[in-house]
Amino acid sequence: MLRSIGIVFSIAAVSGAVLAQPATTTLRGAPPDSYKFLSHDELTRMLTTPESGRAYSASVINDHEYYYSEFVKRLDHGNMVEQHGHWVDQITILSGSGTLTYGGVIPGAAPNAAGEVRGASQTDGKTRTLQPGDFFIIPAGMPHKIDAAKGQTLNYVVFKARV
Amino acid sequence: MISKILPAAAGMLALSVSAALAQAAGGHAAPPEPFIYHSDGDLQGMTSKPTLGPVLSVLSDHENYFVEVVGRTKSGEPEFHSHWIDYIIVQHGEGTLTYGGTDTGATGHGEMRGGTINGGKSMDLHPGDYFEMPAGVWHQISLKPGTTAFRYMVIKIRQ
Repeated sequence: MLRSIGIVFSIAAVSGAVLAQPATTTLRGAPPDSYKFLSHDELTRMLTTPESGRAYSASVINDHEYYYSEFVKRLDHGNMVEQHGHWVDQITILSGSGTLTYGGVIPGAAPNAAGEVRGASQTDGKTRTLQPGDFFIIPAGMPHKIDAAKGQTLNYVVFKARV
Repeated sequence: MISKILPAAAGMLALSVSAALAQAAGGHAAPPEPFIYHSDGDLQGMTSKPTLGPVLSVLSDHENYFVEVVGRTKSGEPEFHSHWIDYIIVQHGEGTLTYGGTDTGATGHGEMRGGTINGGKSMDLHPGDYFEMPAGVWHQISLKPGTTAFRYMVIKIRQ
């Protein structure tokens, strides 16, 4: 086993030297995951530090070409509206409460090369209160916004599937 | 007139062909879903009237992934999926996960069930826990004494 790994590394080193490819960060290209267990407490700890300048933290648990999942903690309102051209969001609310705004349009929506849109506002969206245990599916192309309720923390897990 | 009939006929043909294909293909072949929302209460209701089998309700169903909510009132049996990864989010109840090792007495090919897991590891399951079970690893979810309703979400990914 160790020997075969060594051979793979050697081949990778040789082909890397020959092709002299620039170093790039590979996203959504991880090999299959091994067994993984994250307790409620571990997940809570992982999400203690918000992203810089934001009342939001996210932890990608696995990362593959056509699916990945992330745990998210939000303390914010007035979050950006999102729209994904190629990803379906399947979301389970874990704790806290909040509001989902879905549907309608993002005025002036301009997808980037990856088909992603972010907007400051959303018109004609419908709203729904989010409670622990709720599950919903946002189809690709549907504008959506998730806000924590005022003074509350909203935790959820997103399973993203490529379409 | 013909121009009106032809598209209609083509549409009917397409419908009957796709219906036949869907029938032949069986599950895991649904088109992309519209917006779907199931409240905690809706999901709880499904666990008492599962849509598929004794404990499962399927929430989305595709070739390379599907999502289920599972409500167990008693311990499950050992399971083994050759081609499916399970991502599991525990929602209600206290349980035990046994995983790894080998199984004696199981039945099936590819999808195997039953028998007894030997040499597996065990860990406690509490609400809010999350785990990923690779394809090809034996696993079993048991309920702790005193737990009569154990609910979890499963995301299945084809490998």
